[in-house]
Amino acid sequence: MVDKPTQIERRAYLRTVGTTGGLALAGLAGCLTGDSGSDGSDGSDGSDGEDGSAGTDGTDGTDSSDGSGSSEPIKIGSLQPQSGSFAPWAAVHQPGLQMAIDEVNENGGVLGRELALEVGDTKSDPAEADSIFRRFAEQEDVVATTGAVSSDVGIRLGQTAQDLEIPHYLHMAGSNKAIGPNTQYIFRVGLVPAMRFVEAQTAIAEAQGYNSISAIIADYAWGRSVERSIEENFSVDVDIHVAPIGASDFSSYVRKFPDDVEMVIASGHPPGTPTIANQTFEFGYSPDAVTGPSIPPQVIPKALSDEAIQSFVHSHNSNPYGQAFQDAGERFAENHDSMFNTHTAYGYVTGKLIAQAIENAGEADPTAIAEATRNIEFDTLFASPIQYSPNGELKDISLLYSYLRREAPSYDPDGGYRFEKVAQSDPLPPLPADQ
Amino acid sequence: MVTVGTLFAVAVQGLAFGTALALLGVAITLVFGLGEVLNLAIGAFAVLSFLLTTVFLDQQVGLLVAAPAAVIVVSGFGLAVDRTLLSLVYRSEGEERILLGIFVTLGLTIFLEGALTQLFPSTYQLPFNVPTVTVGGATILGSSLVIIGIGAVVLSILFLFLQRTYVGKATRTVFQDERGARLVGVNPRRLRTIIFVLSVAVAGIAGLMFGLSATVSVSSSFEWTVFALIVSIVGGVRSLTGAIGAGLFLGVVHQFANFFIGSYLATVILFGAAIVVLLANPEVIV
Repeated sequence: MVDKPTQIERRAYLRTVGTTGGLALAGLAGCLTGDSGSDGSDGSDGSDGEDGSAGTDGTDGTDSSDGSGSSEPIKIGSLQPQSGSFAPWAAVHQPGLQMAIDEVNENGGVLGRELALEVGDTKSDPAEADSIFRRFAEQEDVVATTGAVSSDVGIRLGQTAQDLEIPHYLHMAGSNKAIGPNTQYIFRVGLVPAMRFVEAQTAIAEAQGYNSISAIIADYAWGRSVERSIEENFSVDVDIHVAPIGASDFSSYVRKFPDDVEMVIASGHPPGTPTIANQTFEFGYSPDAVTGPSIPPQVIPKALSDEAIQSFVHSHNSNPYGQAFQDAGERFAENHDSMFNTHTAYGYVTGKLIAQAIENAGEADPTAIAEATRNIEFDTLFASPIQYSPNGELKDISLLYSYLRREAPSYDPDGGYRFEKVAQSDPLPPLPADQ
Repeated sequence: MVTVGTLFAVAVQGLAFGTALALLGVAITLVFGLGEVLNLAIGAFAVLSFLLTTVFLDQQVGLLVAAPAAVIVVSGFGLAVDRTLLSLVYRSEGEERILLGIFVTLGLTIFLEGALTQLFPSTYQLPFNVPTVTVGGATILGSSLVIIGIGAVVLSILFLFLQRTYVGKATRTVFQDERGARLVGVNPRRLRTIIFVLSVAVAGIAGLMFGLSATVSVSSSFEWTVFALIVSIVGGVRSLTGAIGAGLFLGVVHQFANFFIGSYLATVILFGAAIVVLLANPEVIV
């Protein structure tokens, strides 16, 4: 191809491309949405294309938040990362949450009133999540919220929840910093804090006698919490590498693994876990276990190679081996194309938990709901009842570990994978408030 | 201690990454060079091709069928875009066309990403198991060799098309002098359609190449568009050979930086390399 002088001057091209870059950053980073093109402010749909909310006729100005005999629905804010690196988590949490809400309403609601969801896309961004939380509080009178996945978002929403005195139920957000000694309005559901998460893996490694262990962590709150936990808990030197949260190629890190690596901890890099697992085996390593974070399992069978999936260990609080889980899975399958999995269960459990807390509180008041949650003992789809410490940490929860097999489970003949139990931890005490 | 074998392996991986970059750069250069449209949707087309491949794979067809089918479908979509959205753009001339093209393709990107996120909210990878090759102690990824091979074939076919076929020669004529091309009976509008579809096909192949070595999500499209822009700037906005050279060069630089320094600085170095080349040789974008 022969180059010729053109009408477009160099300066004009650079100016144009520079303008384009700025517009692209503003437009793509700020306007990417996972829902119907809105910013989720009307809460009209969920992230899987299904109707993700009920009662979307907005408020009519009546105060519906104090349970004082109003017929208005009790609103719950669903702050989901429908776009960004953590979108796969929202894709399953939201439908589970909606299913719980629907079931509660079918059974007469709570305190004589129906529950309704207001859904917003946080874009996995802390500032956006805070903004949506405040808007839901001011304009929609939500009495509780849920949905934080990224630890950065969870930490921010924890502060917001404290400011607004409206409880937030974390989907994930396992950073130790998400909950502090004096937090009153934030509660863990789907993920134990990093310290406990890694402690459980330490027990597995010691039981198996692993001496050569490598880890890749992401450079954000959760990853750094995992890194600190590894350094404090493992008795062997773990070869730790730090990668950006948005990295999609980990070959430069995987190449540096020791040849005899026995265990790879990918738990500290949730979005990159499938690639880390695949590249580990692609480079010829053969660890016995590649431990993942609490990653939504629907990602795993499609993303992992045949080799990697044999050793990949999925971590979860919910118990797919219990009858309650399987019954919920059957009901879910009747109305959804996707399969009920461990993270769908987190959304479902959260919806039921909030409903029970409102019932126990006797009023749809956020502070009363938070207090009721702290005192709750809620037997659900987990291996042990949900209980909380005074500052919102899960108490005596057991962590389960499972392989995934590319076969349909018993509760959903059309499902693409099933769980195969590997291990279950002892009940994990809550993290001390000062940690 | 880093061995020569490891350095060789990293270099090969850099060439593979560079091949995918080169394909993206060629795709964006084709359309800008011929029609003065800066196609900011190039990354979205690449991602769409990858995601369609995963859809076809779910229908139990093999990768060798799914991948070409996806490229064909996304090329058809490109044809529809050209005959609708870009027809509006081509009514303008000069800088007005460039700006209009930017806004139109940017809008298309935002629409596609929003729609695709609804349908494909997860991350995906192609089931591609080619064993690694050990050469003198260097572990070469099988996927790297496949990417280099496919990229070489695609680029060779593209150059043969441009050099040896009537349409290809007519295309080069329009690149050089549109008015002169009209005078000898060449229809630039029809050629722009052919080239736009061709560029979308090349971008689709690039998306598949990226997907052979890493997981892909809808959010990858922005990153890939940025890569395409960098490659086109460094390689020369109207030079296909420049785009190929720039892609390979930047790919190798990126992988070595990734290995020795880390991912954060590797991206900075990628941009820095582009700036250095521009400062050293500003004529590349004239």
